[in-house]
Amino acid sequence: VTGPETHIAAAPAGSAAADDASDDALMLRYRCGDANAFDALYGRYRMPIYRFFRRQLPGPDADECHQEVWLKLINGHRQYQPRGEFRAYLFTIAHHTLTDRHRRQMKHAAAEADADIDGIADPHSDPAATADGEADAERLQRLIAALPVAQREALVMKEMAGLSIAEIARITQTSEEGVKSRLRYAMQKLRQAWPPAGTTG
Amino acid sequence: MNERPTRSDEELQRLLAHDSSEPPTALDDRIRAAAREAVTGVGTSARRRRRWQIPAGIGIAATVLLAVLVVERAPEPTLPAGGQASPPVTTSPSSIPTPQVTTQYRAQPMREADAAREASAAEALQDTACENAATTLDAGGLRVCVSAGHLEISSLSGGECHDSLRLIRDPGQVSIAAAANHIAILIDGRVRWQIRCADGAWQIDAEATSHQ
Repeated sequence: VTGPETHIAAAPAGSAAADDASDDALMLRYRCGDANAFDALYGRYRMPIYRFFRRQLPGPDADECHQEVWLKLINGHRQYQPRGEFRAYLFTIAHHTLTDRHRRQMKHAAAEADADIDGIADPHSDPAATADGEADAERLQRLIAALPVAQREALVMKEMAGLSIAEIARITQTSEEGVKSRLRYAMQKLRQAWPPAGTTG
Repeated sequence: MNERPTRSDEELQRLLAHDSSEPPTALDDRIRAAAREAVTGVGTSARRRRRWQIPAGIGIAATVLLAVLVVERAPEPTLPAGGQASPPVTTSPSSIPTPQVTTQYRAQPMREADAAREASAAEALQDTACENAATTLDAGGLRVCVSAGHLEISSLSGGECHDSLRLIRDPGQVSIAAAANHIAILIDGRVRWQIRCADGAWQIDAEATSHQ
Protein backbone atom coordinates (compact mmCIF):
# COMPACT_ATOMS: atom_id res chain seq x y z
CA VAL A 1 0.00 0.00 0.00
CA THR A 2 1.39 3.34 -0.93
CA GLY A 3 -0.95 5.64 0.98
CA PRO A 4 0.47 7.44 3.98
CA GLU A 5 -2.05 5.86 6.29
CA THR A 6 -0.69 2.43 5.59
CA HIS A 7 2.41 3.20 7.57
CA ILE A 8 0.46 3.90 10.70
CA ALA A 9 -0.01 0.87 12.86
CA ALA A 10 -3.14 0.47 14.91
CA ALA A 11 -2.82 0.90 18.65
CA PRO A 12 -5.36 0.45 21.42
CA ALA A 13 -6.90 3.57 22.87
CA GLY A 14 -5.37 4.66 26.10
CA SER A 15 -2.15 2.90 25.34
CA ALA A 16 1.15 4.70 25.57
CA ALA A 17 1.30 4.76 21.78
CA ALA A 18 -2.08 6.46 21.55
CA ASP A 19 -1.17 8.90 24.30
CA ASP A 20 2.08 9.89 22.69
CA ALA A 21 0.91 9.95 19.10
CA SER A 22 0.51 13.27 17.38
CA ASP A 23 -2.93 14.47 16.40
CA ASP A 24 -2.11 13.85 12.77
CA ALA A 25 -0.93 10.32 13.47
CA LEU A 26 -4.17 9.59 15.29
CA MET A 27 -6.23 11.01 12.45
CA LEU A 28 -4.35 8.89 9.95
CA ARG A 29 -4.88 5.83 12.06
CA TYR A 30 -8.53 6.68 12.23
CA ARG A 31 -8.59 7.03 8.47
CA CYS A 32 -7.07 3.57 8.42
CA GLY A 33 -10.00 2.20 10.36
CA ASP A 34 -8.64 2.39 13.89
CA ALA A 35 -11.58 3.67 15.91
CA ASN A 36 -9.48 3.66 19.05
CA ALA A 37 -7.38 6.40 17.55
CA PHE A 38 -10.47 8.55 17.33
CA ASP A 39 -11.23 7.86 20.97
CA ALA A 40 -7.79 9.14 21.91
CA LEU A 41 -8.24 12.21 19.75
CA TYR A 42 -11.67 12.85 21.16
CA GLY A 43 -10.30 12.54 24.67
CA ARG A 44 -7.83 15.29 23.90
CA TYR A 45 -10.24 17.80 22.47
CA ARG A 46 -13.67 17.01 23.84
CA MET A 47 -13.43 19.54 26.63
CA PRO A 48 -11.82 22.42 24.70
CA ILE A 49 -14.43 22.11 21.96
CA TYR A 50 -17.29 21.71 24.40
CA ARG A 51 -16.22 24.68 26.47
CA PHE A 52 -15.73 26.74 23.34
CA PHE A 53 -19.44 26.38 22.70
CA ARG A 54 -20.50 26.30 26.32
CA ARG A 55 -19.04 29.75 26.86
CA GLN A 56 -20.93 31.16 23.94
CA LEU A 57 -24.21 29.32 23.69
CA PRO A 58 -26.92 28.05 26.00
CA GLY A 59 -26.53 24.45 27.18
CA PRO A 60 -28.65 22.59 24.61
CA ASP A 61 -27.20 24.64 21.75
CA ALA A 62 -23.69 23.95 23.01
CA ASP A 63 -24.40 20.23 23.09
CA GLU A 64 -25.76 20.29 19.57
CA CYS A 65 -22.85 22.28 18.20
CA HIS A 66 -20.34 20.08 19.98
CA GLN A 67 -21.87 17.02 18.39
CA GLU A 68 -22.05 18.74 15.03
CA VAL A 69 -18.34 19.51 15.03
CA TRP A 70 -17.36 15.95 15.76
CA LEU A 71 -19.77 14.51 13.24
CA LYS A 72 -18.33 16.83 10.62
CA LEU A 73 -14.88 15.60 11.51
CA ILE A 74 -16.03 11.98 11.36
CA ASN A 75 -17.81 12.40 8.04
CA GLY A 76 -14.87 14.23 6.52
CA HIS A 77 -12.06 12.21 8.04
CA ARG A 78 -11.07 10.75 4.70
CA GLN A 79 -10.42 14.21 3.33
CA TYR A 80 -8.19 15.25 6.21
CA GLN A 81 -4.71 16.15 5.11
CA PRO A 82 -2.05 15.91 7.82
CA ARG A 83 -0.22 19.19 8.05
CA GLY A 84 0.40 19.38 11.75
CA GLU A 85 -2.55 21.71 12.22
CA PHE A 86 -5.23 19.43 13.53
CA ARG A 87 -6.19 21.71 16.40
CA ALA A 88 -6.65 24.65 14.07
CA TYR A 89 -8.54 22.39 11.67
CA LEU A 90 -10.88 21.27 14.42
CA PHE A 91 -11.49 24.78 15.69
CA THR A 92 -12.10 25.96 12.16
CA ILE A 93 -14.96 23.49 12.01
CA ALA A 94 -16.12 24.78 15.38
CA HIS A 95 -15.88 28.38 14.17
CA HIS A 96 -18.01 27.65 11.12
CA THR A 97 -20.50 25.72 13.22
CA LEU A 98 -20.79 28.61 15.63
CA THR A 99 -21.14 31.11 12.80
CA ASP A 100 -23.92 29.07 11.24
CA ARG A 101 -25.65 28.84 14.61
CA HIS A 102 -25.43 32.60 15.09
CA ARG A 103 -26.85 33.19 11.65
CA ARG A 104 -29.82 31.04 12.46
CA GLN A 105 -30.28 32.74 15.79
CA MET A 106 -30.03 36.16 14.20
CA LYS A 107 -33.02 35.41 12.06
CA HIS A 108 -35.06 34.98 15.20
CA ALA A 109 -33.48 37.52 17.47
CA ALA A 110 -31.34 39.93 15.51
CA ALA A 111 -30.29 42.16 18.31
CA GLU A 112 -29.47 39.51 20.85
CA ALA A 113 -26.38 38.00 19.26
CA ASP A 114 -24.51 41.27 19.04
CA ALA A 115 -25.80 42.85 22.18
CA ASP A 116 -23.46 45.34 23.69
CA ILE A 117 -22.11 44.75 27.12
CA ASP A 118 -23.03 48.23 28.30
CA GLY A 119 -26.45 47.15 29.45
CA ILE A 120 -25.02 44.92 32.15
CA ALA A 121 -21.67 46.52 32.59
CA ASP A 122 -22.40 48.30 35.80
CA PRO A 123 -22.59 45.90 38.74
CA HIS A 124 -24.88 48.38 40.46
CA SER A 125 -27.47 47.63 37.85
CA ASP A 126 -27.64 44.08 39.18
CA PRO A 127 -27.74 44.50 42.95
CA ALA A 128 -29.44 41.17 43.53
CA ALA A 129 -26.59 39.31 41.97
CA THR A 130 -24.06 41.15 44.08
CA ALA A 131 -26.05 40.75 47.25
CA ASP A 132 -26.44 37.05 46.69
CA GLY A 133 -22.79 36.69 46.11
CA GLU A 134 -23.22 35.42 42.58
CA ALA A 135 -20.54 32.91 41.78
CA ASP A 136 -17.66 34.28 39.78
CA ALA A 137 -18.11 31.63 37.13
CA GLU A 138 -21.74 32.48 36.56
CA ARG A 139 -21.10 36.17 36.44
CA LEU A 140 -18.21 35.70 34.07
CA GLN A 141 -20.38 33.53 31.88
CA ARG A 142 -22.98 36.28 31.64
CA LEU A 143 -20.40 38.91 30.85
CA ILE A 144 -18.76 36.81 28.17
CA ALA A 145 -22.14 36.04 26.65
CA ALA A 146 -22.80 39.75 26.37
CA LEU A 147 -19.63 40.48 24.42
CA PRO A 148 -19.89 41.04 20.68
CA VAL A 149 -19.60 37.74 18.85
CA ALA A 150 -16.20 38.30 17.27
CA GLN A 151 -14.64 39.50 20.51
CA ARG A 152 -16.21 36.71 22.48
CA GLU A 153 -15.00 34.04 20.10
CA ALA A 154 -11.47 35.37 20.04
CA LEU A 155 -11.44 35.58 23.82
CA VAL A 156 -12.69 32.03 24.26
CA MET A 157 -10.21 30.66 21.73
CA LYS A 158 -7.30 32.46 23.33
CA GLU A 159 -7.98 32.25 27.03
CA MET A 160 -9.93 29.03 27.29
CA ALA A 161 -8.81 26.88 24.40
CA GLY A 162 -5.24 28.13 24.47
CA LEU A 163 -4.99 28.88 20.76
CA SER A 164 -2.30 31.24 19.56
CA ILE A 165 -3.02 34.60 17.96
CA ALA A 166 -1.84 33.20 14.65
CA GLU A 167 -4.14 30.20 14.93
CA ILE A 168 -7.11 32.37 15.79
CA ALA A 169 -6.35 34.66 12.88
CA ARG A 170 -6.21 31.72 10.52
CA ILE A 171 -9.37 30.13 11.88
CA THR A 172 -11.42 33.31 11.81
CA GLN A 173 -9.79 34.57 8.62
CA THR A 174 -8.75 37.77 10.29
CA SER A 175 -5.41 39.51 10.55
CA GLU A 176 -3.35 38.94 13.66
CA GLU A 177 -3.70 42.63 14.45
CA GLY A 178 -7.43 42.27 14.17
CA VAL A 179 -7.41 39.39 16.62
CA LYS A 180 -5.27 41.34 19.05
CA SER A 181 -7.64 44.24 18.79
CA ARG A 182 -10.65 42.05 19.51
CA LEU A 183 -8.92 40.53 22.51
CA ARG A 184 -7.94 43.94 23.80
CA TYR A 185 -11.47 45.25 23.57
CA ALA A 186 -12.92 42.11 25.12
CA MET A 187 -10.59 42.22 28.10
CA GLN A 188 -11.21 45.91 28.50
CA LYS A 189 -14.95 45.40 28.62
CA LEU A 190 -14.63 42.56 31.09
CA ARG A 191 -12.43 44.65 33.33
CA GLN A 192 -14.85 47.55 33.25
CA ALA A 193 -17.90 45.39 33.79
CA TRP A 194 -16.42 43.32 36.53
CA PRO A 195 -14.43 45.23 39.11
CA PRO A 196 -12.68 43.39 41.89
CA ALA A 197 -14.72 42.29 44.89
CA GLY A 198 -15.22 44.98 47.51
CA THR A 199 -15.08 47.81 45.03
CA THR A 200 -18.62 47.70 43.79
CA GLY A 201 -20.40 49.41 46.63
CA MET B 1 -15.64 60.74 35.85
CA ASN B 2 -16.18 57.78 38.08
CA GLU B 3 -13.00 55.64 37.92
CA ARG B 4 -13.21 52.25 39.49
CA PRO B 5 -10.40 49.83 40.19
CA THR B 6 -10.25 47.06 37.63
CA ARG B 7 -9.09 43.50 37.69
CA SER B 8 -5.71 42.72 36.28
CA ASP B 9 -5.36 40.79 33.03
CA GLU B 10 -3.75 37.97 34.94
CA GLU B 11 -6.69 37.68 37.29
CA LEU B 12 -9.15 37.75 34.43
CA GLN B 13 -7.18 35.18 32.49
CA ARG B 14 -7.11 32.93 35.52
CA LEU B 15 -10.86 33.20 35.91
CA LEU B 16 -11.42 32.69 32.22
CA ALA B 17 -9.29 29.57 32.14
CA HIS B 18 -11.21 28.07 35.02
CA ASP B 19 -13.99 26.01 33.53
CA SER B 20 -15.17 22.67 34.80
CA SER B 21 -17.94 22.02 32.30
CA GLU B 22 -17.80 18.76 30.39
CA PRO B 23 -19.91 17.25 27.67
CA PRO B 24 -22.60 14.90 28.96
CA THR B 25 -21.62 11.24 28.99
CA ALA B 26 -24.46 10.35 26.66
CA LEU B 27 -23.18 12.88 24.16
CA ASP B 28 -19.67 11.43 24.40
CA ASP B 29 -21.06 7.97 23.81
CA ARG B 30 -23.04 9.06 20.76
CA ILE B 31 -20.03 10.70 19.17
CA ARG B 32 -17.73 7.78 19.86
CA ALA B 33 -20.33 5.38 18.48
CA ALA B 34 -20.69 7.46 15.33
CA ALA B 35 -16.93 7.51 14.90
CA ARG B 36 -16.73 3.76 15.31
CA GLU B 37 -19.59 3.19 12.92
CA ALA B 38 -17.98 5.38 10.30
CA VAL B 39 -14.95 3.15 10.01
CA THR B 40 -16.34 -0.25 10.92
CA GLY B 41 -19.76 -0.25 9.34
CA VAL B 42 -22.93 -1.63 10.81
CA GLY B 43 -24.19 -5.18 10.74
CA THR B 44 -21.04 -6.53 9.17
CA SER B 45 -19.02 -9.46 10.31
CA ALA B 46 -15.73 -8.91 12.06
CA ARG B 47 -13.92 -10.09 8.99
CA ARG B 48 -15.43 -7.30 6.96
CA ARG B 49 -15.05 -4.59 9.52
CA ARG B 50 -11.91 -3.30 8.04
CA ARG B 51 -11.21 -0.03 6.34
CA TRP B 52 -11.64 -0.25 2.60
CA GLN B 53 -8.21 -0.24 1.16
CA ILE B 54 -6.53 -1.60 -1.86
CA PRO B 55 -2.90 -0.99 -2.58
CA ALA B 56 -2.55 1.48 -5.38
CA GLY B 57 -0.32 -0.90 -7.27
CA ILE B 58 -2.93 -3.62 -7.18
CA GLY B 59 -5.59 -1.14 -8.17
CA ILE B 60 -3.60 0.08 -11.14
CA ALA B 61 -2.69 -3.45 -12.17
CA ALA B 62 -6.30 -4.53 -11.89
CA THR B 63 -7.41 -1.58 -13.98
CA VAL B 64 -4.85 -2.37 -16.66
CA LEU B 65 -5.96 -5.98 -16.66
CA LEU B 66 -9.55 -4.91 -16.97
CA ALA B 67 -8.69 -2.63 -19.86
CA VAL B 68 -7.00 -5.54 -21.65
CA LEU B 69 -9.99 -7.75 -21.06
CA VAL B 70 -12.34 -5.12 -22.36
CA VAL B 71 -10.34 -4.64 -25.54
CA GLU B 72 -10.42 -8.35 -26.14
CA ARG B 73 -14.12 -8.58 -25.46
CA ALA B 74 -15.14 -5.50 -27.36
CA PRO B 75 -16.31 -7.14 -30.62
CA GLU B 76 -18.46 -9.65 -28.86
CA PRO B 77 -22.17 -9.16 -28.26
CA THR B 78 -23.04 -8.13 -24.77
CA LEU B 79 -26.77 -8.49 -24.80
CA PRO B 80 -28.49 -11.77 -24.09
CA ALA B 81 -30.85 -13.43 -26.48
CA GLY B 82 -34.38 -12.11 -26.78
CA GLY B 83 -37.01 -13.18 -24.35
CA GLN B 84 -34.96 -12.39 -21.31
CA ALA B 85 -35.34 -9.40 -19.13
CA SER B 86 -33.66 -6.28 -20.39
CA PRO B 87 -30.15 -5.81 -19.08
CA PRO B 88 -29.55 -2.90 -16.78
CA VAL B 89 -28.74 0.34 -18.49
CA THR B 90 -25.63 2.03 -17.27
CA THR B 91 -25.54 5.77 -17.61
CA SER B 92 -22.58 8.03 -17.29
CA PRO B 93 -23.27 10.33 -14.37
CA SER B 94 -22.46 13.93 -15.04
CA SER B 95 -20.70 14.34 -11.73
CA ILE B 96 -17.99 11.80 -12.43
CA PRO B 97 -15.60 11.18 -15.28
CA THR B 98 -16.98 9.15 -18.11
CA PRO B 99 -16.12 5.54 -17.37
CA GLN B 100 -13.98 3.74 -19.87
CA VAL B 101 -15.87 0.51 -19.60
CA THR B 102 -19.08 -0.82 -18.25
CA THR B 103 -19.54 -4.20 -16.66
CA GLN B 104 -23.04 -5.46 -16.22
CA TYR B 105 -24.63 -8.36 -14.47
CA ARG B 106 -24.88 -10.65 -17.41
CA ALA B 107 -22.83 -13.72 -18.08
CA GLN B 108 -20.76 -12.91 -21.13
CA PRO B 109 -18.79 -15.24 -23.36
CA MET B 110 -15.19 -15.47 -22.24
CA ARG B 111 -12.19 -16.13 -24.32
CA GLU B 112 -9.66 -18.70 -23.24
CA ALA B 113 -7.20 -16.07 -22.12
CA ASP B 114 -9.85 -14.51 -19.95
CA ALA B 115 -10.82 -17.85 -18.55
CA ALA B 116 -7.21 -18.64 -17.73
CA ARG B 117 -6.79 -15.37 -15.89
CA GLU B 118 -9.96 -15.89 -14.00
CA ALA B 119 -9.00 -19.44 -13.12
CA SER B 120 -5.67 -18.35 -11.76
CA ALA B 121 -7.46 -16.23 -9.19
CA ALA B 122 -10.03 -18.86 -8.37
CA GLU B 123 -8.39 -19.84 -5.14
CA ALA B 124 -8.30 -16.29 -3.90
CA LEU B 125 -11.87 -15.81 -4.91
CA GLN B 126 -12.96 -18.59 -2.64
CA ASP B 127 -12.26 -16.34 0.29
CA THR B 128 -13.98 -13.35 -1.19
CA ALA B 129 -16.98 -15.16 -2.58
CA CYS B 130 -20.16 -13.67 -1.20
CA GLU B 131 -22.51 -16.01 0.53
CA ASN B 132 -26.12 -15.96 -0.63
CA ALA B 133 -25.42 -13.23 -3.16
CA ALA B 134 -28.18 -12.66 -5.67
CA THR B 135 -25.86 -10.82 -7.99
CA THR B 136 -22.12 -10.96 -8.45
CA LEU B 137 -20.24 -8.47 -10.55
CA ASP B 138 -16.54 -8.23 -11.30
CA ALA B 139 -14.90 -5.05 -12.49
CA GLY B 140 -11.71 -3.13 -12.02
CA GLY B 141 -10.16 -5.85 -9.93
CA LEU B 142 -13.14 -5.81 -7.66
CA ARG B 143 -15.92 -8.24 -6.93
CA VAL B 144 -19.23 -6.77 -5.95
CA CYS B 145 -21.84 -9.05 -4.44
CA VAL B 146 -25.37 -7.80 -4.13
CA SER B 147 -28.05 -9.33 -1.99
CA ALA B 148 -31.27 -8.03 -0.57
CA GLY B 149 -29.68 -6.82 2.59
CA HIS B 150 -26.35 -5.45 1.59
CA LEU B 151 -23.67 -4.99 -0.98
CA GLU B 152 -20.20 -6.39 -0.47
CA ILE B 153 -17.08 -5.35 -2.27
CA SER B 154 -13.97 -7.49 -2.32
CA SER B 155 -10.66 -7.41 -4.05
CA LEU B 156 -10.17 -10.06 -6.69
CA SER B 157 -6.56 -10.23 -5.62
CA GLY B 158 -7.70 -12.04 -2.52
CA GLY B 159 -6.20 -9.58 -0.11
CA GLU B 160 -7.88 -8.17 2.94
CA CYS B 161 -9.69 -5.58 0.96
CA HIS B 162 -13.35 -5.78 1.41
CA ASP B 163 -16.14 -3.65 2.65
CA SER B 164 -19.86 -3.86 2.93
CA LEU B 165 -22.57 -1.34 2.28
CA ARG B 166 -25.92 -1.68 3.88
CA LEU B 167 -28.88 -1.45 1.56
CA ILE B 168 -32.12 -0.15 2.93
CA ARG B 169 -34.24 -1.26 0.07
CA ASP B 170 -34.09 -3.82 -2.69
CA PRO B 171 -31.04 -3.04 -4.78
CA GLY B 172 -32.83 -3.40 -8.10
CA GLN B 173 -30.75 -3.51 -11.27
CA VAL B 174 -27.10 -3.19 -10.41
CA SER B 175 -24.32 -2.30 -12.80
CA ILE B 176 -20.78 -1.06 -12.53
CA ALA B 177 -18.92 1.57 -14.46
CA ALA B 178 -15.16 1.39 -14.13
CA ALA B 179 -12.49 3.91 -15.03
CA ALA B 180 -8.77 4.16 -14.31
CA ASN B 181 -9.11 5.24 -10.72
CA HIS B 182 -12.82 5.29 -10.26
CA ILE B 183 -15.60 2.78 -10.01
CA ALA B 184 -19.22 3.74 -9.90
CA ILE B 185 -21.91 1.33 -8.73
CA LEU B 186 -25.24 2.10 -10.27
CA ILE B 187 -28.64 0.99 -9.09
CA ASP B 188 -31.37 1.25 -11.70
CA GLY B 189 -29.11 3.38 -13.82
CA ARG B 190 -28.30 5.90 -11.10
CA VAL B 191 -24.99 6.21 -9.34
CA ARG B 192 -25.33 5.10 -5.75
CA TRP B 193 -21.75 4.59 -4.68
CA GLN B 194 -18.48 5.78 -6.02
CA ILE B 195 -15.20 4.12 -5.21
CA ARG B 196 -12.18 6.22 -5.96
CA CYS B 197 -8.48 5.85 -5.77
CA ALA B 198 -7.16 8.70 -3.66
CA ASP B 199 -3.98 9.05 -1.70
CA GLY B 200 -2.95 5.61 -2.67
CA ALA B 201 -6.01 3.86 -1.31
CA TRP B 202 -9.40 2.97 -2.66
CA GLN B 203 -12.14 4.77 -0.88
CA ILE B 204 -15.85 4.43 -0.92
CA ASP B 205 -17.52 7.77 -1.31
CA ALA B 206 -18.82 8.49 2.18
CA GLU B 207 -21.38 10.97 0.94
CA ALA B 208 -22.87 8.48 -1.44
CA THR B 209 -23.16 5.79 1.18
CA SER B 210 -25.31 7.97 3.33
CA HIS B 211 -27.97 8.38 0.67
CA GLN B 212 -29.08 4.93 -0.13
